[in-house]
Amino acid sequence: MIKEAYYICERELRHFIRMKIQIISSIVTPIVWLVFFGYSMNIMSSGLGGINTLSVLIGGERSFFLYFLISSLKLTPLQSLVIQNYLGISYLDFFYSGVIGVTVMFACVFSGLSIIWDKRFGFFNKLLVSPIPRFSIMLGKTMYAMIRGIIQGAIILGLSFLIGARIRTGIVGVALALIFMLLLSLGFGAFSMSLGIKLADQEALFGIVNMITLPLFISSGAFMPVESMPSWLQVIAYGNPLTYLVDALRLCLLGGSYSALGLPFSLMDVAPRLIRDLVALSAFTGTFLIIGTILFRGSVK
Amino acid sequence: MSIIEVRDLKKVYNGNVVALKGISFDVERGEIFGFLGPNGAGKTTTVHILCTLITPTSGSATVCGFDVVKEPDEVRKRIGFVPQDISVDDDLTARENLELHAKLYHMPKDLRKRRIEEVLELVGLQERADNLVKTFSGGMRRRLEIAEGLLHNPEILFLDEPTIGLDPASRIVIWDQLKEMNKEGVTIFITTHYMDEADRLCDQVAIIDLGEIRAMGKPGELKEEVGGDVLFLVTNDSNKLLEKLLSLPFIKDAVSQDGTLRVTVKSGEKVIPLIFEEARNLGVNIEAVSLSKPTLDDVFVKYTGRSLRDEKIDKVERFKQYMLMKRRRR
Repeated sequence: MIKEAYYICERELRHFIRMKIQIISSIVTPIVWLVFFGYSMNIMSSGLGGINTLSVLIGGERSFFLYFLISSLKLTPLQSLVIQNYLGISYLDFFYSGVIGVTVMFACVFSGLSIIWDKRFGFFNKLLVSPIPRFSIMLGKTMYAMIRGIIQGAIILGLSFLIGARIRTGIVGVALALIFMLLLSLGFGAFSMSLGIKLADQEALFGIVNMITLPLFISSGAFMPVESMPSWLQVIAYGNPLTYLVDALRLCLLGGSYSALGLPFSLMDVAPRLIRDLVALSAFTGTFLIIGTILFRGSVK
Repeated sequence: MSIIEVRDLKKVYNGNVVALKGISFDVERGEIFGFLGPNGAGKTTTVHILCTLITPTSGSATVCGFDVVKEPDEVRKRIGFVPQDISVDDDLTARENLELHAKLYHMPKDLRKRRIEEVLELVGLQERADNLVKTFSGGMRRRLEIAEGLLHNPEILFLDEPTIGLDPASRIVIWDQLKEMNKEGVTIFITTHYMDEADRLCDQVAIIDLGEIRAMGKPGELKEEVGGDVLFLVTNDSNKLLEKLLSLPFIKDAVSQDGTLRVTVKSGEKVIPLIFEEARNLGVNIEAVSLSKPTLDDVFVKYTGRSLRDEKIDKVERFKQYMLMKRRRR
């Protein structure tokens, strides 16, 4: 089954490599966000103070404390600038994990389209006529979503680093970050496949995906800390799988930031929260793998 | 044992759309079997059941001795399927399409390589093997599709409307290739709504309409049942000849219409010289003769009360739209 799934995945990868425009757009869009948004928010947060708390909160119980401390102090813009500089965290640092998370999501969430195309053009039937385990079709396509998600996520991570975002945890943190990307890629891939199996035309999938991705990425904490959101939005945020990926990426990549404050803060310190993220993401991914499997078995004899 | 045995096969979609009303037929090993009928007759449904894509509501079907419902994997290993919609992958090359297909059928690498060359040659696509399929014409895509269906040496090849939307030259190429494969021992099951296709290609034809088989047999036999060939004779003394003709054993029927004799016979080509001989003996001069052979369309009209011709336009139109959509893909 794995072998057949690999053959199907290989086909999708060939498609991806040949779609030059799609490769370019999937890289350019996140860069535009990083540069345009990352840098301009940086100036706003340090210059105006209006969004000053944004840049302070990064991971860990201690930073919650810090955040509440700083926000309760009602700092002037100048004071918050001082703290930020002291913490050494720019908005770009805060933001790039969010951009990676969103990139991973967008890389995977349309992957169900390929099932719809295959159904429409009869390729799906041809797969079904061949003597392969039925489930290897879904497995192969989800594998492709996963590979694509992690490749695009890794590219954005590298580019963020090149334009000046800081990785403060070293190779272990990056490796952990990649594992988290992989986990959610699989989840969003399975989610998209579930839609693809059920839906008959691609416009329907576009519609549904567009409808849910916007709230997902706004509420994910990619742009602003979840803790600074209104409470009703926080409820949504904590039900959003992307929130946990963005949070986990931030912990993995910036986990050590706070040592600058004299507070020893390493990956080990954020482990409980990382485990929370891991559990949440696994639950999401597992659920959609199961749903996708059930739907697939139901639709294919 | 027949390679396909279908007994009282029924298919009802969504509880109320009856696609097949209980059909039975056999296909013998080595023949080209044609399923002839208009859109919505149940042709594709039948092929999909035989190819294990859908399950029948009731009745049974075996392919190569295996039940399509109970042992689908055994059936799948032994059949090739060329669907109605061209489904080769546009964004892969011809060779990559074939490679993927061969891998899915678990063909070992050396066999894969050899067999791919063989089928490419068979369908005449060797020179375009490494081009992307999106640069191919409709006829070439069809041929690649057929190559794919044959790649894993199936015992039987199912083709659902293989020449739809193709120009006459491409159709003839495909017919020739199908005949070639058939000579090599592959049984061919083909659905079509083209009369000439069924007529020229098939050893056996089943005429299906509204989910029922209306007639079955060799194309020649079916046409004979319609009544045989019709000769039109223009003579200088039709009554004299008519009298004589009616007494001859090989003349089924003869009437005079406005001075032209309309003669129904079994086999026109053989009868014409005989009639000329009789006429000469009688001293009657035949000025003109024309021969009209019955077509499967006449057979179709006889058994269904409708002509198939009306169906063509709509189907070709659909194919054009489909090709347009395919080009817009991605």
